[in-house]
Amino acid sequence: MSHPFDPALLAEARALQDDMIVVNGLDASLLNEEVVRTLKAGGVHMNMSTLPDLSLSSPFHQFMLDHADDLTPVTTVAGIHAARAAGKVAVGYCWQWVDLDEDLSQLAGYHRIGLRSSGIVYNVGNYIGSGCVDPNPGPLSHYGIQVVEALQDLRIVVDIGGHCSEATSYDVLQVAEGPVVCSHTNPLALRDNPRAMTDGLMRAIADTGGVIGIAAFNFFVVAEGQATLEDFLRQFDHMIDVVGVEHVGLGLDQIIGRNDRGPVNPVTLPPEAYPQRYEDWIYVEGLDDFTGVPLITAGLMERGYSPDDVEKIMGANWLRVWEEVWGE
Amino acid sequence: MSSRKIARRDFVAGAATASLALGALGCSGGDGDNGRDAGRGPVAAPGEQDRLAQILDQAVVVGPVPIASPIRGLQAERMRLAAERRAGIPARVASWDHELAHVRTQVRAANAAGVNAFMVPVVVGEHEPAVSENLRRFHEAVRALNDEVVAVLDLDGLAAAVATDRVGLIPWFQGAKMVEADLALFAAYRASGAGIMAPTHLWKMPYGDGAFERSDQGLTATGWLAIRAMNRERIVIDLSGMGPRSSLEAMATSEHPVIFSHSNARAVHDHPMNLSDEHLRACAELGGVVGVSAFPACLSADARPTLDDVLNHLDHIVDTAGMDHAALGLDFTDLPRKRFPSDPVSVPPYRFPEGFSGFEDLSRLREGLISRGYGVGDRARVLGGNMVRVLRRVWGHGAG
Repeated sequence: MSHPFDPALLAEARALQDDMIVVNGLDASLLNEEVVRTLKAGGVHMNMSTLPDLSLSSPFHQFMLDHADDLTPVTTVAGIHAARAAGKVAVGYCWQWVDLDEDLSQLAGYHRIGLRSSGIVYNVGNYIGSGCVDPNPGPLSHYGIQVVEALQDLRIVVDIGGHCSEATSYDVLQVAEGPVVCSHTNPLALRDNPRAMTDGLMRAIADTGGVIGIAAFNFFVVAEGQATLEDFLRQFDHMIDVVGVEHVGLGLDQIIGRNDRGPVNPVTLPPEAYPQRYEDWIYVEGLDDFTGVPLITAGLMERGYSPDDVEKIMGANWLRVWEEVWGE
Repeated sequence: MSSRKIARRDFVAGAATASLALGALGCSGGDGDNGRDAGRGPVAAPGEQDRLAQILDQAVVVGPVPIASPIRGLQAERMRLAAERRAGIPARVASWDHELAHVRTQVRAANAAGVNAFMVPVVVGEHEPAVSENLRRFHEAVRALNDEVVAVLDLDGLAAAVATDRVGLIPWFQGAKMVEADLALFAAYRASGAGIMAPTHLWKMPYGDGAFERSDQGLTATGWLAIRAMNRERIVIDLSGMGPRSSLEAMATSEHPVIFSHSNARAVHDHPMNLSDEHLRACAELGGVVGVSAFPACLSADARPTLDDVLNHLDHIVDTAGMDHAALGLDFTDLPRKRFPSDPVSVPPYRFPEGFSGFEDLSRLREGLISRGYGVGDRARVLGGNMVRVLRRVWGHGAG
């Protein structure tokens, strides 16, 4: 790993992180030891973890108990503050798509377990709407409208764009009230990929008061080769130009500590959007795990963003939206 | 059970021919239980295949009859429980004995009406583990009613049903929620009996839009691949219930004939479940069939449609798609179908046409066919020959 920052700047960045709340708006790792270690090392205070299995039999509940000295499950912004004060990393639970039966009363149970943010469609169409790689994207289904309403009734953050098609995303905006987010995407203007987002949809999400998290997935930043930190920071510049500094955050979307190997399922992860072998799922230079997060802070500082703006981008924007949606 | 079926007399040459076909398929003998269990035997030699074809082409094979499904009670129970769970009423358990008795009654009515095989819903949009439970019930029902029914998982099963005077139950899968993007699972479900599958139900599903949806999108990214995967596994693709654009695209990509197991003609009655002439012709071009439905909402705007309405739809399908592409879909059902307020169906009890609401009324349909000029050969094609041609073509045992 190489980066252009001098150690003094990095130390300053790391120290600045101790004075703010650093939030990763979406992590795809699933919980494991490497996640815990690097969250602490990288100065991340809150990690929104994708946990597709949130059932009572999920192993993650025991994992959280086993790591109670380092991690605290949170369902409120007050909880995030309390975790930070106690020197622990806050962990929120989210889904990237909804996979429930017709009977949406199950959602209340998952909310009880801790679900606080959810995507609705993952790349390919489902019962709810269409995905970002579908050839004929369309609006929400009848059931999809019920899903969005059920999420909002429970004050679970609705997460659109990115994996879900623009058509479905815009339809969600017709149905939803209050802020909606896109937890992890990248600007289409800088790298054309089905997973990326148009400036128009980014503005529409910002207009709800929401926030858009930027992903560090290499293939979404550059078509070939290794994305540099400069490539990544340029994405922040572009999105801030488009939607303003109040509406941009981190949604790093790393897969840390899993060592996945072999071919992906080309149906849900098609070649136009994803490298076809997990070995090639790499991240922006320095951002293989959370230890590189101070590089982002330092990079934003070096680009001249004010400490207030850096604080918003690195976490305060997420906290604002979550507090509004969660209500506490 | 009646030993002599007047209704079938027109079509089946006789028991001797049937035995020949059964022998050719290696179906004689069995496990010693009663000497007529059908095992999967060697593929028939060419001459024997001709005889088999003759037998099967005369078979009466009809579309879905949900009232006869071994999961009908379970389905009703699930729907009731889902409603009651919302209302906070505790669960009760459906009686399996009751379910079996119901299937037996329906099977006897089918047999008495000369029906050799019909489709029964085994999956109606469920995913695992409900699908396993449904399959267990289907196969348990087949075993329990072994003297009267045969599971039709392939042509051997169909031939066995005809030859042994039992009723073939063709498992019918409506929706593939248990497969979704894991397309390799089609092979596993084909082996478990999924010989006919609908890629979608009436609403949006991972392969495309349903006929009752807010939108009329084409196939999804997964949908295109799923159609090809179903082709590869020789699963008959049933496009009833799919939205217009998705079903047109499915026909454009399918390498095999498809069926619309229970769909009528929009030209006769404009309803989302019914088919445009473009769809009827596309289906015919692929060599498929359209099964005419008796479901009242699909017949006419009248509160109480008639058998004449059924025949009007059939006539239009024949006129537009051709005599080789019409079949019986029936769709006698008593399960709720209305899910969203905008769904253009009523709630049960449905008002099926007077005198045409169950297997026992098939003789009336036969009379109607005669009165409208369908000859003996045409009647045989509509009553099953066309459907069997598609099953043979897709499932194997000789090119159709």
